[in-house]
Amino acid sequence: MKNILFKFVVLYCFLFFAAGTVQGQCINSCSHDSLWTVCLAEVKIAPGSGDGDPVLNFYRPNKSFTTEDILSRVPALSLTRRSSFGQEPGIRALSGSRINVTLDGMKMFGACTDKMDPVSIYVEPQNLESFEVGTGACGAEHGSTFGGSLNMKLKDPDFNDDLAIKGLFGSTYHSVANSIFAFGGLDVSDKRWAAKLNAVYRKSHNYNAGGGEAVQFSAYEKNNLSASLKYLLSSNQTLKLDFLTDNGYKIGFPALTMDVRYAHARIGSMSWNYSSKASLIREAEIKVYSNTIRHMMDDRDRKGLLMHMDMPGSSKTNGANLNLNFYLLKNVNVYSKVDYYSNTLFAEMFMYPEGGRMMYMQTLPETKRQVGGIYISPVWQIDSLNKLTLGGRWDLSSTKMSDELGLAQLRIFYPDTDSSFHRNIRSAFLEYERRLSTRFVAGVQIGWSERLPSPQEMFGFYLYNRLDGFDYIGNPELRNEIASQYSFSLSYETKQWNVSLSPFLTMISHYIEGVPDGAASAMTEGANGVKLYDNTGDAILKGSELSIKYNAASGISLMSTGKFVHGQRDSGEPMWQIPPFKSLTSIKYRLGLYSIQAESELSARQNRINPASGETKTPSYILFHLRLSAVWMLGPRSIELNGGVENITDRFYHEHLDWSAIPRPGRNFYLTVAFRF
Amino acid sequence: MKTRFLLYILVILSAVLTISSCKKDDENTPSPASQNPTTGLTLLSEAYAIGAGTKVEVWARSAYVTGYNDLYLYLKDSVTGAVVQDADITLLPMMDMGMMMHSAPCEHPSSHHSQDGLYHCSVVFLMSSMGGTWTLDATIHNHANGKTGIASMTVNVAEAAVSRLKSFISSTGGETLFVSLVEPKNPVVGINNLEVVVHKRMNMGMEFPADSSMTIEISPLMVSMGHGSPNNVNPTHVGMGHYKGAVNYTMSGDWNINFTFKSGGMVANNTLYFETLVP
Repeated sequence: MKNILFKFVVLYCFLFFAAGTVQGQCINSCSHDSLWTVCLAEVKIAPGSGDGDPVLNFYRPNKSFTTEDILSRVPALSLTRRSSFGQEPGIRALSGSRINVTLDGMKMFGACTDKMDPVSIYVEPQNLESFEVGTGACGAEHGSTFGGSLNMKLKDPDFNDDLAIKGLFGSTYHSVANSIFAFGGLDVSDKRWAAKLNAVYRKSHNYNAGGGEAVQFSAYEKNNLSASLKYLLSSNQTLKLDFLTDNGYKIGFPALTMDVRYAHARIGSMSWNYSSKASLIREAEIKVYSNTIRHMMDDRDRKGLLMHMDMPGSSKTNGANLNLNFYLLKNVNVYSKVDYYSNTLFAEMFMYPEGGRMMYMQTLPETKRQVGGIYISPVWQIDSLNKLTLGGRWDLSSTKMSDELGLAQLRIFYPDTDSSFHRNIRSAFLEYERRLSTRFVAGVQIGWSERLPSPQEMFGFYLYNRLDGFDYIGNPELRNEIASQYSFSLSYETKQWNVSLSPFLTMISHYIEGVPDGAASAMTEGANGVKLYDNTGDAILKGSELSIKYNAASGISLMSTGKFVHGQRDSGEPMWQIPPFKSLTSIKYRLGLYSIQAESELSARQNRINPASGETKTPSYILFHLRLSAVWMLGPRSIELNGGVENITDRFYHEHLDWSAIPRPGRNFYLTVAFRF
Repeated sequence: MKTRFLLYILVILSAVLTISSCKKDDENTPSPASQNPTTGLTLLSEAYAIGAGTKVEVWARSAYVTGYNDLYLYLKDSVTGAVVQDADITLLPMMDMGMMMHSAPCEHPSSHHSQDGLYHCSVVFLMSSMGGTWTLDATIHNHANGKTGIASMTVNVAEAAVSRLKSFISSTGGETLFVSLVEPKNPVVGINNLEVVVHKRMNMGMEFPADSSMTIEISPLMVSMGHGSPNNVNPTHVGMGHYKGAVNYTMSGDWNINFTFKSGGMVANNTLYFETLVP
């Protein structure tokens, strides 16, 4: 494996430097239907933002797709599944606090200590315009990271010369889970005002796995409401208010012994925006935001347990961002950002033994983290063929856990520990892109970055991880994790074809993971033991993504993506939770307002596992989906019909990252009816 | 400008001084001699040691209860009422059950000099007053007047809500040993001092010498969940039959502390446990 990668790099370097004759002159003028650079990409998902765009349909072929369904199709991303809802995104096999997940640049942190609520569950695709994915240190715009960043961009209401009212209403039915998904959106705008309203409701029962057997505790219900109001202050200044609320109820977690009773998020922001194409300052934005998440886990629906438990958690974040995008020189554009946030996390556990008194502990004592930082990234368009981007971030952080009970708990393990910690966190990257010929573009990126240990890794107390069956104890004295990384990209573009390959290498040191403590006994019933977080040495991740797009004038289009990651510890053992090779291919034929789309989803088996962590091998699978869509125009209005069948062969399967090998849904017929006006 | 600056300095300095002086007050738990030494204590019993010309008062933080009781004797001259600071004191607890009598383990004041007027001592009441009558005799040799006398008090011992006294018959030596839990008095989540005292029953229950020969291992157990806690410290002998260690509670609730007693490398008992309630 190592060999292949090495050969590839050599070949790659050869292509990169040996391409002497450069003919192309269109780095800016050529139309790219992909927005990928070496390490930054934008995936548009909003309807209307690219009608007939094969890329758009690829990521969101079905209006009822959840945020995580779409994310799982983005190259470089993979999702860890613990239930039918609430999957955790990972970028190139790194997830959790190793990556940034932001909503329109706003920091948000899940409230559940067992990672049941990655913040992507609080957002519906109906709220979103696009996903911005930055791999590696390139994601530093949204916080110091070496895993990357996923920024979910909220939809922006548009102004209109005359008063305009537009809307979209619809509903979807899925047979596999007997589920209903209803959505509605309304846009009202004129010259100075623009408002957007969105409402989404989902109710899903237990779904059936391949073969027809129902997966218990996989039902969920949620609603989501968002409102956005924009006011034009002057020709180049706007003021915008955003509010979003998401309420999940009884989200079942088949992979765990508990379910989510409720998961509520309230998100609000106010921003002032300035933009001008002509002046020195191209764009400026000031944003103030606040969000609160309340999360409650319990096992009231489960039978045969030793005792019942309640695990409430909360997360509150306030912050402000100042973005400035200006020209330093004629061809040097500087992106800069000053930001601050404070996040307070708190999680408790109540246990009710039969006949005994209630027991209580703080699984995450109230911890307040404040981070302020500055990010600067000049982009130098050297000439029409060469582009150099530099980027750097410097954050100052303070993490404080001053709860007396929390300290008393933690001092059982760390008798002399402090309650307050101050750290510097830095990251930097360099990216160079070069057009080699009219058809070839190459790029290289080098990055170095640190990341703060998460509050859970520092102060968590008996946090049960279902995956390895250990109770985890935080370590306040953890050092920052550090990584250096190298990414490359090579793409081939013609009018019809776009092929791009992006291999990468990430080397992590002071790798944070749990180390078993033989002396401590596990708290959770049936757990294997207790692990203490520690910096445990080095880890190396390498892999690649490949994407192929073909768009013929005849109405046939094809898109195919593949991703692969290989992870290894310095001990020579494989890293755990590494997704195997996965490929998604979609062929679409479009005739006027009708289209038919066939898809295949292929995952290789994963035999490189870390048995010490309780990981098991996962077999390969291949799925087929068929989708049909039709639009009837009724003057300015239209009716859209989407239908199809997913997992046609009713395959019984699960992905490697899925917890407890809970099978994924079997054959599913779906139908969406939408009315647009 | 300058005066304002000076003013700031003054304000800050005074603030610092106030804070530091407050701290000192908190740290000085033993009250000064000028204050009443029995502050925070309750008077449980009193009697005259006839012949010694001394009034004996027994003070404690809480009422008499089965198990280990920390007691503070407060002696006064029966005529002048002056505090007696220098006296030899020996205690003798006795249970009269009608058909039979037995004594109880006790610890006499370690010095004939009082500490702020108080003599610290302790008694391990083996049973409550439901089964008979407890008397506590204090023999006083008052060094101020050179006289000796006995103060005899009838004391009412209540049954502890949660037992802090256990006994076992050693499977190595065959003798009966009493184990009293001294600490933790008020268990908390986190690290707690653990202290037990071991006494041997001898002479038909009339003598209870301290036993310092044991090796003790402990393991806390949350009974309802079946788990323990990490980094506990096994109690080791520190003198007078007292063994000190540490017990850790990872959460609130009902915890047992399981004990293993070893004597000469052999297990003397491994079934004894104390129940503790962590609020």
